[in-house]
Amino acid sequence: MTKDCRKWGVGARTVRPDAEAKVRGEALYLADMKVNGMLHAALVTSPVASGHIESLGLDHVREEPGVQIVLSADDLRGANQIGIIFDDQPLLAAGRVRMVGERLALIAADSEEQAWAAVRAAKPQIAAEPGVFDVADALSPNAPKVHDSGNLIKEFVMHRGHMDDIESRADLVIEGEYRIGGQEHAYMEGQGAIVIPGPGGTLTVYSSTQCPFYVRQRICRMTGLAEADVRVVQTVTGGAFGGKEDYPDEPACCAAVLALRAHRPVRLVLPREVDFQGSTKRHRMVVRHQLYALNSGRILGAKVEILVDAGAYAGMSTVVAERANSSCIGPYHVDAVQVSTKVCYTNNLFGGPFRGFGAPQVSAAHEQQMNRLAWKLGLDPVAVRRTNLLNHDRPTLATGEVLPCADMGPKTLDEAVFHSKWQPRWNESVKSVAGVIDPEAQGDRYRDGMGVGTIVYGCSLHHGGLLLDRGGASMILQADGTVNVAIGVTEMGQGALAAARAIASQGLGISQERIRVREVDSAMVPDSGPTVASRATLIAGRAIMDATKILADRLRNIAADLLGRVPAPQLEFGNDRITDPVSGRFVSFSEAVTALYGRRENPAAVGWFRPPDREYDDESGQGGAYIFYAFATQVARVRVDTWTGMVQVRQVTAAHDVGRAIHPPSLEGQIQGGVVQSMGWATMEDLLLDQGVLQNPGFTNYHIPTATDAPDVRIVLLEEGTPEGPYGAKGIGEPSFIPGGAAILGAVSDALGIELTELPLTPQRVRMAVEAAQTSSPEGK
Amino acid sequence: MQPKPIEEVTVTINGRKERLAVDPAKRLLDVLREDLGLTGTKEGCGKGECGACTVLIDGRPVNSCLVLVGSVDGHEVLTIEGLAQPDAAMHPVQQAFVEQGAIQCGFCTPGAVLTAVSLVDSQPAADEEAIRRYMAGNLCRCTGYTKIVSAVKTAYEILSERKGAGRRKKEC
Amino acid sequence: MEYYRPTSVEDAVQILGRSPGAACMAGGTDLVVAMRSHKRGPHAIVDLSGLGLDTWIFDDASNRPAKVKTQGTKKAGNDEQRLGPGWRIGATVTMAVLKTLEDEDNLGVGLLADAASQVGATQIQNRATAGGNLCNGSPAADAVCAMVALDALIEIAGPTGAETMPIGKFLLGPGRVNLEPGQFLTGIFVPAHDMKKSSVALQEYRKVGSRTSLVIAVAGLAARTVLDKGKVVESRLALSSVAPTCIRATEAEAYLTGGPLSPDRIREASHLAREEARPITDLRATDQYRKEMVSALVTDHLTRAAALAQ
Repeated sequence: MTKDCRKWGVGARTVRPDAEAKVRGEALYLADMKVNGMLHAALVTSPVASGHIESLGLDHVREEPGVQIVLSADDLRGANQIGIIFDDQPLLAAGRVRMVGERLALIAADSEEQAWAAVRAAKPQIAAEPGVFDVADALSPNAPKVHDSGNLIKEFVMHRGHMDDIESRADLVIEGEYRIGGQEHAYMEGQGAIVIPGPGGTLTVYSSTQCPFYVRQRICRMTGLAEADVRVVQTVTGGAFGGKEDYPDEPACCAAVLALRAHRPVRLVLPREVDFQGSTKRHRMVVRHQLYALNSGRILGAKVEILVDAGAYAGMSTVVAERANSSCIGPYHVDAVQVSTKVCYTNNLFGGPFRGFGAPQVSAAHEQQMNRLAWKLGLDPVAVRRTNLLNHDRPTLATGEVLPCADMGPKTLDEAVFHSKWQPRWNESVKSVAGVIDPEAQGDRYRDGMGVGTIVYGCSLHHGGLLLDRGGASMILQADGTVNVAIGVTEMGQGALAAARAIASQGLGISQERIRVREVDSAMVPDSGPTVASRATLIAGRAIMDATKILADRLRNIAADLLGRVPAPQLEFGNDRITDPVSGRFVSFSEAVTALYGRRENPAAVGWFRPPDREYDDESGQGGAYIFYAFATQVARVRVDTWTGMVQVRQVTAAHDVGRAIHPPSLEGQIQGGVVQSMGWATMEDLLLDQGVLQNPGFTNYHIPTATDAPDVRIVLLEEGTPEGPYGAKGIGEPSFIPGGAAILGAVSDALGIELTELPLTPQRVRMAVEAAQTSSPEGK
Repeated sequence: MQPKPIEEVTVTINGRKERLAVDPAKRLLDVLREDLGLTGTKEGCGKGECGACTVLIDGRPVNSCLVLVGSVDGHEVLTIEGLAQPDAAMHPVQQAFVEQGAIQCGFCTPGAVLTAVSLVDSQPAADEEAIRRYMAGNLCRCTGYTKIVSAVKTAYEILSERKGAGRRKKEC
Repeated sequence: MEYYRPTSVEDAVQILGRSPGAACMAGGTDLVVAMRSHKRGPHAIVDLSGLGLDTWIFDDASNRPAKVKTQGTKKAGNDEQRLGPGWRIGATVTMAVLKTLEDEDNLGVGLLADAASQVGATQIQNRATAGGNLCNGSPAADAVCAMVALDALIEIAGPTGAETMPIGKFLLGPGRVNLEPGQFLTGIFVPAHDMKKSSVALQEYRKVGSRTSLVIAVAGLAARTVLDKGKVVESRLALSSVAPTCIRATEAEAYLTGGPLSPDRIREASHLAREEARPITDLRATDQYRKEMVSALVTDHLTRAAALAQ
């Protein structure tokens, strides 16, 4: 096969536009930036998860060297309210605290060291009160109330068909309670912001963020400033994964309040431990799943109850829960479902967006339910999935939405099964002595297993976020034939700039090298909503296509003239030329642009994308939840050391319905990275909490995968396009993560012959499961 | 004579001898970033657990967040800025990282590149397992490491090509 | 803060003599973290990296006397005792250097090299030192576990002169080592453990943790098992992370010595080692799991040693 060495258009294997600056160490991240007269901020935070503030103990803080400003809730002039959806979260605690790491006061000092030294001089007195530390207890009548309104933030439901009917028809019911752990994003660059006050009360904000428009909105709300007066510039962002969706607004608001008070620039960079304890995390969930099925392996429906541990403030937890709610059945056809998802306050870590947005937790549950059904019936887990996956004959999701691409589910399954050489061991004799630490059991010490995870993911925002689901791009053709593109979605490492450049390049038929795409500046592009939900390529791409169409039409007319009155519509763009396919004659792109400038025509265009309206009913959880869907299947091959409980994920085969590969190296990087991040979540990343205090707030004891842990990742791409996507592309950021945990849970269960129901599968947890199985097994010792 | 505390440090940074009148107990990382403006060296954790602050001391990778500058008196430090001057061609390892798409958010990149430089300099041909083991101190949350490992392999190929030992297959 | 970088042991002794609260620093990988997290705030640092203690030699020690402290307390007098051949390793020799110690004849030091290769990752191995690993007093220290297995001797300098003590006397508990004010560690002596030509040996360091590298041991085993004609002639089993210091599983060792490595005897030895462990529950693991891991590590090692003898 000859490599495609094209340098223009979508699908070209080009070098990312940001690669060289990053590899030379020239890219400026937030903490690399200095501004004249800049103060450094630090946070005084609560060591207690639930309590009443008796005093903040800030007296000595003001006398610490270099300290310029100390602010507590009483000193704030604007609204002390930063809840992004619900008005439940103060910028600075007033009266009571609800989580460890909650901000009590802000300090600005001459140096970073002085600012954090001053924090240690603060002696807050907080009378501890009982808290809620297990989401399963949050709704019990005796539970302490985290907020006066009670601990239930919101309930989502999904109802379809008649449960009575399937209850009577079912041959068997598979019941499981899954306890799925949270996860720290562990972006390599921590959170931070720089706020620079300008003339007339304006602000320029530099932020390491996925969502500059969220930052702007929340600063404006806190300070009362106009949106046009607050310019948010995204700095080169060192990883995000959802952790920089809403949380960056908090350091930005802190810095803004201090900057407005000091009339000086303020920088706040969170040290890693503060970041770990205080920033958002993947939600812990409890999923109670009852699957109704026939002896043939055909499922009829499910009854699901999900408890979501939101932590002390709602943040975006309800939105995450909404996706969990609509994803908990998986890509399977059902006659009836009854789902309830309750989002609860606790005094644990602050739940928030994280790659997959609630779907990975429920997918681990629904996929393990499918496995357990198969094992119960003596069937291959893949066969059971084939029996139930959506396809063109039964294309309707549990949300009632009819998927035109329903055949992609079985296709990803087939590809993953084929390329992984699927061969589970479940039907071998598994309830054996494996796990007994015995010299004679050495041969059976290591157990290999395989597991499969199939998912369907609704790309872009849920119907509940429809108002934000739009985006813009502005483009300028420069006189020399180079092009500037400004987009409203962010590069956080995933390759948004590369994808945007490829799409612009395709639209104009020019080399990617001519095109420059920059990080978001809120004063330069319209609010394009958040860069989340695997929507960046879709939103930026379609807006760019809109803009390139405008520009290409102008150039087409010019080229037609230059070529001597050939019909403009037949001209084709490509290879840096505008070509008449009939005669084969062409003008170069540069010549056409020169002519455009010669005629003083408009070289700029603003493109816009507005996804179509959809109908969705909150009462039943039925309707058009998402713009389109991407399927994925991953197969994990694991080796389990039954003596130590250590799980080695050896290989993951990832088959993805990507629509179209826009920038293949970035696409592969997303899949490889998503698989490994998911594997970390499923096997080693354990947020250890004691009364709301994170016991492992750093990389010393919160372990993420290293190069020696990462599995061999095999990628299979299915490129069948989707009409709504730019040149057919679907989203990949989250689908790359979601099936992995499910596949690993299934694979470890397969290896051991034990139906596991918890994540992460840390060595200790696996070993305990092995021991429990031995004591209950007649063959065990 | 009573031994005196040291008050300045002489260290060669990126080939240039610097006499630094800084607190010798300051972290090398802070001296690089704050006093010398070499912000290509990143702080990821401050505890020697992530490798983002990796620099080479006398050719060996270390976490500069755990090194007090007093202890490098008389030694040579190489940071990412010194690996290739801004107007000069990239080092083969940098070139390989770029070609292989081993860079996503880029925050771990300078540290990972420097570790890889020391690997290719110190071991004539490391296999995949040796590469992974050598690079285990550079955490990356974006790439899943596949392309970083490919980049190190490619760096070996570029280097052997430069020595005239056959041409490598270039992707594009 | 004052920062000293003496160039002789005498100067270091002098500085420590007049600055009793000063912290000695070798590679700094533990001290700098402790200072950053405000667990330690010394008023002065004595950087030992200029003392020339960053080399090792193999000392055949032909009849060279060395002082060995055999009593627990300092004033109890030092007995003269001859040391056999072995490796004299300076306090500031890094893990990166330790792991290059070759041991073709299985004289024991290869075990230390194996453990050193598992400390942190490349960057840490280039800074962390033999002396620092010891003085930090962590029961989880990989290299220390190997030193305990090999009966290393600790060499100390101080105001009352140089002295040497067995490693078991040096390690007192988590974060605590047997150094008087003004004393510091200058090196270790790892005796060569000779064996017959007809013998076979398995010496290795293994640990259990939640990932495959860059991990602090939940339990670790530094072991050296020498077999001759099917019988164990030398058994060294040192455990990390399962007691206040790295310890020897002496009962298991005594039980193994002189007998064959049959499955039953391996089982019994693992059981003994497991009972000798006195682990705690902390955030990394429960005491129960740690005990289980002692069984797993010992069984695993002995089973492979038995296979080697076949």
